Amino acid sequence: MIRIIIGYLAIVVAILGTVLVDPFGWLVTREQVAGGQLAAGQVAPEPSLTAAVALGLQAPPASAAAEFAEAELRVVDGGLAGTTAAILAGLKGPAKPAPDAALVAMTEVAVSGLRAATQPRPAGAATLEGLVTAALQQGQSDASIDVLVNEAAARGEVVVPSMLVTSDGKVDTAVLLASLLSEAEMGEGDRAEPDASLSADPLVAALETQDVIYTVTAGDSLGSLALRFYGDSGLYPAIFAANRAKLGTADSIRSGMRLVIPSRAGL
Amino acid sequence: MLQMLTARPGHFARIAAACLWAWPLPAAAQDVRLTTDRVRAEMVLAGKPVVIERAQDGEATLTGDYARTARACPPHCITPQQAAPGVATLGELEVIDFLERSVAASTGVLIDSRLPDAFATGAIPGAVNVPYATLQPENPYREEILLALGAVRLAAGGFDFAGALDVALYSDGAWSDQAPRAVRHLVELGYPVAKIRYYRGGMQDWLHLGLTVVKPSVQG
Repeated sequence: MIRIIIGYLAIVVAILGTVLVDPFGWLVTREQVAGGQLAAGQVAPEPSLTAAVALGLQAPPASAAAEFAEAELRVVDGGLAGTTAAILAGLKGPAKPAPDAALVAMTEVAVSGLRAATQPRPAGAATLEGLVTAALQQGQSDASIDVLVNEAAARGEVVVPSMLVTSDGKVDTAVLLASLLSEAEMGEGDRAEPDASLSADPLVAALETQDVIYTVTAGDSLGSLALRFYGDSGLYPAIFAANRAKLGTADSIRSGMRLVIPSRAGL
Repeated sequence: MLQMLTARPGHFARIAAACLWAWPLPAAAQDVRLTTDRVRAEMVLAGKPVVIERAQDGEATLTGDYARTARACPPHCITPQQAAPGVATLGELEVIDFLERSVAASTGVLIDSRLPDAFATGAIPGAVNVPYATLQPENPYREEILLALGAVRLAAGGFDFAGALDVALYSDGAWSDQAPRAVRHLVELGYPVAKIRYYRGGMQDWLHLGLTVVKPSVQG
């Protein structure tokens, strides 16, 4: 009963206290009471007492004293300004190395990414040229090079120039080897002599003056057609350009297609 | 043998169709090309085959974050066409050309300036993630980036950029300041403007054209 009366008095005193101080001060006081904390000197001594009593109303009497003591200890330890400074310091303290760590990580990833993207590839690795060069150096036959290249292409290990893709979806290693050979001869200074067998082909002879129509057979590639009709696989773009309507890409050549072979005169 | 073209789905489908249906079969045209004369771009970047082409679904529209048209400005303000004086601005064809000529030849690198989480959602094939933040003066390690780009530290201080890579930078798009900031930081650091390019359209324009996007695995 006495406790209730004291509680009632405490509430009255608290209301009086809040009327006497500014609303902001009241807010702070109330928040701190709710948190079990007291602000020193804000509305002392009454609010301290009222807070303690209010706590006593909510908690068993035994712990009320303890909480009051604890609250007082906290008050002694630091006011609002001190707490704010401590929080800011706390925020600043652990947060400061965080961006650095993130930056370090990002920088490391970026640097390793750049290195991986720009490192020169080891010679001969995973390129069609490298594969064929290595096979030639090992003295492998044309047939085994054909198998090797096609297997590598099937596994997606090498990218095949579209002009080397045949009408049956294989890699035209014959043309590849022929172009390597002619490049090697050119490199040695031997001018590639016009192939005598070229003019023996009636279609090729006709090409001297006019365009001809050629029906694609199995195993043809744009490169092989250019090699056959012009003696140089590198001239395949001329055939490609003349058949753009039929060929979306240079590797979409199919058996049975009728392709225009432009006259040699027009090259 | 058909598997050799699995990396190019359109192709595989075409060949598979040719096997099932009448042979020979005229090639099914790819309706959405890069340009009139060009269906796709094929290249080898860092030892890996890369194909850049456009999505063929005529009904497709942008979805997700890059479909948005309104973002608070600041910070997502419309950027000028030019990122810095002397720095060329690229469109998509020039980006593809840069990949084919410079990146494939290891004389250039395409840089995605976005932060790693954005980069991880998808990027232009061949791009390397160098977040703009790593080029800010606040990063004490930013010179490492310059070294990785081929700059050489001079004894007298500063860098020699003669052997440095050509770089092309992009970020989210015309509303993103990340790539322009990275460009400006490079210029501040002395990177020659002739070696810097800026793709202003960024991810949004790239996606809007249905161009090939790759989901980068963990970089590095």
